[in-house]
Amino acid sequence: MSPFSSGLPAAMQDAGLVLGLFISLTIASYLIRDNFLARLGQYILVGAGLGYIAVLAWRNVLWPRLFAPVISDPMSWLTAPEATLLKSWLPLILGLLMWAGGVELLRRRPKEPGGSQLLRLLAVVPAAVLVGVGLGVGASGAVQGTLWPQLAAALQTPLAAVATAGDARPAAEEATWLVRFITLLITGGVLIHLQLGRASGASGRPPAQRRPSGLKDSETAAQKHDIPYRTLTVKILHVWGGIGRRALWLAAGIVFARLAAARFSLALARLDYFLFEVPRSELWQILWAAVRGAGS
Amino acid sequence: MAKSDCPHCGLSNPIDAQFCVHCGTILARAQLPSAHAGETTDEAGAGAADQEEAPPPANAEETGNHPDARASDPTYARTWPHSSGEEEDGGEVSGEGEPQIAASQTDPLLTDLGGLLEPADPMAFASSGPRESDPSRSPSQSLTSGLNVSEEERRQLRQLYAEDLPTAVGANPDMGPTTAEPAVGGSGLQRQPWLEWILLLGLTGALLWGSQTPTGGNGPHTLPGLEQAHQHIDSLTPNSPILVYWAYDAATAGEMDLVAQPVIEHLLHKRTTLIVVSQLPGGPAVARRVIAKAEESVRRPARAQVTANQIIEGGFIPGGAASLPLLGVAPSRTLPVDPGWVELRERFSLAGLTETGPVLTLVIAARAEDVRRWLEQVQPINDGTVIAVTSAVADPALRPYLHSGQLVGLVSGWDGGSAYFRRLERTRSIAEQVRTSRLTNGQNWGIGILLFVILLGNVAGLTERRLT
Repeated sequence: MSPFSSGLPAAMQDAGLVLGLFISLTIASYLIRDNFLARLGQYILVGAGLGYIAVLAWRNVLWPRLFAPVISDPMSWLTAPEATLLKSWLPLILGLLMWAGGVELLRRRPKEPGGSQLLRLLAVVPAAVLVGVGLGVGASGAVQGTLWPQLAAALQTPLAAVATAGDARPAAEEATWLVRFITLLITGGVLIHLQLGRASGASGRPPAQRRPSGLKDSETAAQKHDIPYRTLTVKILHVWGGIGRRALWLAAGIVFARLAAARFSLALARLDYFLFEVPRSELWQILWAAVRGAGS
Repeated sequence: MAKSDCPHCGLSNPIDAQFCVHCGTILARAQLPSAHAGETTDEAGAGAADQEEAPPPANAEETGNHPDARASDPTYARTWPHSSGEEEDGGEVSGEGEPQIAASQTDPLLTDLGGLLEPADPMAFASSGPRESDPSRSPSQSLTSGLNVSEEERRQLRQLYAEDLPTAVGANPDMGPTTAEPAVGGSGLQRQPWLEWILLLGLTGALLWGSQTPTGGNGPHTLPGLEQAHQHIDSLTPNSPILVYWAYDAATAGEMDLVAQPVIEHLLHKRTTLIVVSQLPGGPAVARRVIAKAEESVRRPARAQVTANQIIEGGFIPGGAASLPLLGVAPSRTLPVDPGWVELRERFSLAGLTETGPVLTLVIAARAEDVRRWLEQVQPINDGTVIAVTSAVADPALRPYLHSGQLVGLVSGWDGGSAYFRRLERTRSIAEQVRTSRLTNGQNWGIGILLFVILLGNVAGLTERRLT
């Protein structure tokens, strides 16, 4: 037995299966029309989900990491080192500010400036910390984890981070020169199309907005002034952008196909649950026998 | 000359004006109750009944005679959460001063849990932005100036959202001409019930047919990355610490369980030590269920001894991307302290994880974003080896990471899961093999049926459009 082994008796597990079947059917009744049962299922789902999140946050985070250390030594802010203050008291203060500001936002906006307005202003501080840290981490992560490694891999540059990613990297070896060339070609083409391509309307309609630096305009201008190298450059960019535009549609098709496959799996798993899992549970067989007995 | 005040901007207008000359607000509806004070709402109901039989007049929505138009009118929707009809009527009839806006301002953001499921009105969002962001402007000015769309655009938006969003409990679905209009032109074909029923019956048939088909056959096509993942896990030594980042919950479990379970079984069979963490609230519960099934499956055929030593529940880690770098720097300090497994944590000395790092990180995610987040935030810090187990939809976005070597293996979708299962046949129970075979065959047949239904739908759409 491990902590992950189910400790519930078999009857309770079966009860969960049957309860899941009932709630699934109530929500599935939305296929016919919107009704009370469908809404009931949704409310149960939302309510149980929110309650579970609240309990989890309290049990895993708030109590062991925030409240328990503070309550065990309430005067620690006088003597504790800076690290402890940063870990315990600062999050507590910021959290309380945000919580109070959130509660205040649910109330009506006060007409007179006062404590409520001040609370709303102070709640901006933790919000700003959250947004700022999130953006900073995201931007630096995108550079160090995606942009640079992908560029280096496409250019086949030895990169320390990639080289130490593991000894067994046969998949990386499969990325041949052809794949790298196509990657660069398509990436460049898409960028050119998005930056310089003409914004065309749907279904052959005239473009809603012409970009001033459109490739076609530049090409025409270059031809008018009879500048061969510029004409050639613009022509290459035009073709390259066209490749990028078609690659965009191709990628969209691939993503859609995989999306359909993913959602298909979800639907099949649910049907499998209805048709095979639930009928094989002991509780269901007892219920079914009782229904048949009552019917006969 | 008689004047009337606009309820939005407060400026004066001629008494017979249909619209405010300053802000464009519809004045006819606001004046209606006071102008026809003797008329009851029965007349409005009769007007609505008439409109079900005949197309609405051009100014039907403007005059507010149609109850559905009234519900979806953006000027009314701004009072979200919707107050009762009596309250709205009362607010209008009392109408001296600022009837409508005053009611909307005094309402709190959420009155009850029902607000969470209440369909949002796009026009309300369009108009609420400037009001919140610019405190120097009065709410009434912001409401109207943020709403710079034409009536035709408003009508289209109402149609769009009336089709897709559910109605509130007890509310009658809008069956008026406004929402029925797209189906006439054939553009609402995706909402045709017969297509949905064909698809549902096709899926059920495919699953039943798949359960009759014997196991074996060629199986699904194996995408690059799966073999590498299998080989890498197969080369692990017993008791190697494996960090499992569980990034899917019950919403996508139907697909993801098929992919995750064989990989977990393989790791258990190799007797590695799994440390499971999740940033989704529902992640640990789903992990418990899948790992329990994998334990059961591994234990029975191979008589493998799966003990508590092999699995450590890291639990729920909040904070999103911002907390992930800490998991790369000091995993043992990041893992939540759950009283239920403190003893385990001490026994297996998770602190050692910080010094050596995990031998392998398994990212099990339904979205490509979660895998990318790990590769951006954690892998550059701990230089760990990462295998991704993902949904089918995430696969195309993660292929570049496999080619660049940031991922050493990639297992995706039901096809990846069942291909991985086929490599574990000797360690799995008969019941699990039958279930996997049933689902795989069902998928194979179902994809064909899906393509047929898409083709049928397109042909029907083209025919319908040509006929109309």
